[in-house]
Amino acid sequence: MSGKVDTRVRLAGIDLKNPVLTASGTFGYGTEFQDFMDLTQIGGFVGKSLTRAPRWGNPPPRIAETPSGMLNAISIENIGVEAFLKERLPALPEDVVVIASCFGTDPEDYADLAAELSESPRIAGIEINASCPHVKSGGIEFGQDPNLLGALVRRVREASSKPFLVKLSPNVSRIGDMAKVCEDSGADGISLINTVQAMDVDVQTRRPVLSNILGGLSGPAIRPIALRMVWQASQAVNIPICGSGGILTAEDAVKFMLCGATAVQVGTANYTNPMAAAEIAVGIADYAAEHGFPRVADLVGALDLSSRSA
Amino acid sequence: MKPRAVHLADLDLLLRLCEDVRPGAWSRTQLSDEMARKDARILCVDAAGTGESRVLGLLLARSVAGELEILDVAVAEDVRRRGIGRSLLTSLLARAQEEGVTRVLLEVRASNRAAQSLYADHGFVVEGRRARYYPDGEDAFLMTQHTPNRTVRPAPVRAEAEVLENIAEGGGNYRLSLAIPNWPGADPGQFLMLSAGAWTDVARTDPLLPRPMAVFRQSPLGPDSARVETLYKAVGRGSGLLAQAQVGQRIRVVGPLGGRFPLPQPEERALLVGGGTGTASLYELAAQAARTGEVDVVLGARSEQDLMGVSLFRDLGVRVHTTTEDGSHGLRGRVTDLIPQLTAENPQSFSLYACGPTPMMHACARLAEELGVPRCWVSLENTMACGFGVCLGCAVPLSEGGFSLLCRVGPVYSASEISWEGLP
Repeated sequence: MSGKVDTRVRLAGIDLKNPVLTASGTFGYGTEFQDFMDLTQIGGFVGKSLTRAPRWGNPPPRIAETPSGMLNAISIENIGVEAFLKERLPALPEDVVVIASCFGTDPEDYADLAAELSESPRIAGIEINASCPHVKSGGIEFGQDPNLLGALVRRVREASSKPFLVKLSPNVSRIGDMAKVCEDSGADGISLINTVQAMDVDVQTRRPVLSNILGGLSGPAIRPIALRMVWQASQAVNIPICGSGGILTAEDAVKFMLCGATAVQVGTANYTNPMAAAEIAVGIADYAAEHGFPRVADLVGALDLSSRSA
Repeated sequence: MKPRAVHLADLDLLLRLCEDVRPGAWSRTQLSDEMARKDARILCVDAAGTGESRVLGLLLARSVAGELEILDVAVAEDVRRRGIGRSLLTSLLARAQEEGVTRVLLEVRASNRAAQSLYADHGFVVEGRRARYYPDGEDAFLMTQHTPNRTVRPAPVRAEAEVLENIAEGGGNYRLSLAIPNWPGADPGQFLMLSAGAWTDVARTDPLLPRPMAVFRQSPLGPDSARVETLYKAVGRGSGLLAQAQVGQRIRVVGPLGGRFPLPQPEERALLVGGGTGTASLYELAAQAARTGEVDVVLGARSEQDLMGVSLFRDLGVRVHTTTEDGSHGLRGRVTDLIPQLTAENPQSFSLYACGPTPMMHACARLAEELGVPRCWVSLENTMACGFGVCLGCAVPLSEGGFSLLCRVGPVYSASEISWEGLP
């Protein structure tokens, strides 16, 4: 049935065969999933956030399970941009859409990385991680201050010749304002949400469950929050939105599209089921077919508000 | 001393070397036939700078169906111990890796310790013993190397496994048997990730994450399926739910994951120490190590009802010793109480393998060092969300600084690699 549905979407100038991407930090550098799936079955993937130099993350414990979710505080552990371009990227099949995520401590860091990544013909687009909630400097500082965020996005716009998305933090009071700043400063699209800042405590030891004390909450526990924020952002801007936050199934993904997301990112679900993203891509097409949508792109923003006013 | 490929024009020189080293081992016809084979991989080392036409070393191998078999290595008597054999082997293995060879195998005389140690340096392990393999009646060790690292791991599968048995063994311990389709077989020490709720029967998001569990026993069920067992203790929400899993229910699994225990070196004795459900990851190791050498297994627990797998280990024909803290089975005390006396005769001849609670493994590691046991391997546990290297949750702090991902580099580590103080 879904064979007749046109699954293609265009996200911020990037053509995707279907609207399912995988979220940065949950999909390694892509190669880790080749044992489980053909990477061309998904729209594309967003790689682990890259920094100029390789970096180690936090000491353990780095993750903890919470009700219908998990906390993590890894801190941008990554192999560095050079190793990614030289070693990992060439190991991926030609027709896999790769979006590279970058992270820095000041706008120049981000701009340098974006410029370098722009030079690779294998990279379709860039995602600016302006929202990592547990690195001491950089990341979330930009995601929480509209002035800093605007300056960052403008600087990246100058440096990057590729389409780029800005990954926003949910740890703000007015998400629409942050989305608007990105649009006005030249971003091609926005991704949201990153993890929700959170913590948990072990009462037996009376210690925080994470060595970093604070972490980022992900998984289905945050999905209603993510959905609300995608909806609010979609009301505030015209640039496309890539929605994420606790998507485990195709139905979850459809909700995000109905609320205005052009594409979605599957994150924590990749851990619990390494074939989740590919299965969700098929499920979205099935949903579209069953509900009479000739193109999955027709689901974007198709939230029906008409009968509620009666 | 750079190894090179041979040509038919080299035949006389090669034959002269073979005659000098082991007269009669290769006839002219056998050698020329071997050189003409498409699957032959033959390397030699020339005498350099002497102006003399002479071959100093020769290595003959065949590459068949992704496996490389080393047939012979010959080094002239007067130039031994100069690294010629080593350079031939290194060169062959580098080419094997380029060719995508998954396994390299060879036979070596039981008495040839120098060659065995050269192979062990290159990651070869003894996988069998062939009685009276050589014409003079001497035994051969079958040694294999899984390239390119310690092992080429079986590619993991994601599968919907069916519960065959989920048996309470007392003390809150359970033995779970699963039928797993397309199971590629696990190496000793590997684990799988198991979704604790019956995910495919009921869409459950709490508990969310799968649990790592060591593969205990495995056996074929049919052409495309295997019976795989794990041991667990029902202590938390995940394992508590798992304890309720019914026969016939389906559970999502991903595996086998992680790396393997290295097998003992030739003539080395294996001492396996398991605590609680840590016993599980030692079973396949005990089975494999028992094929080539002596194995002692020490199983410890709080009391008799917590001891797991005692009779199953005994069935392998290994010596099993038990300790319980309350003295209800075996020696009253801890596993570490038995290690000194078991290794007393010749501690240098042992490899110690430990799996259990972290304090137990740390105690084993310290004891191995004190007693002069040269190798101590431990299989660690850690919190993880994925098991295949992307969540980065399972970082193990290393003694030299930095971290290692337990799910990819571990779970087996040499005890000295780990920063024990930094473990959570």
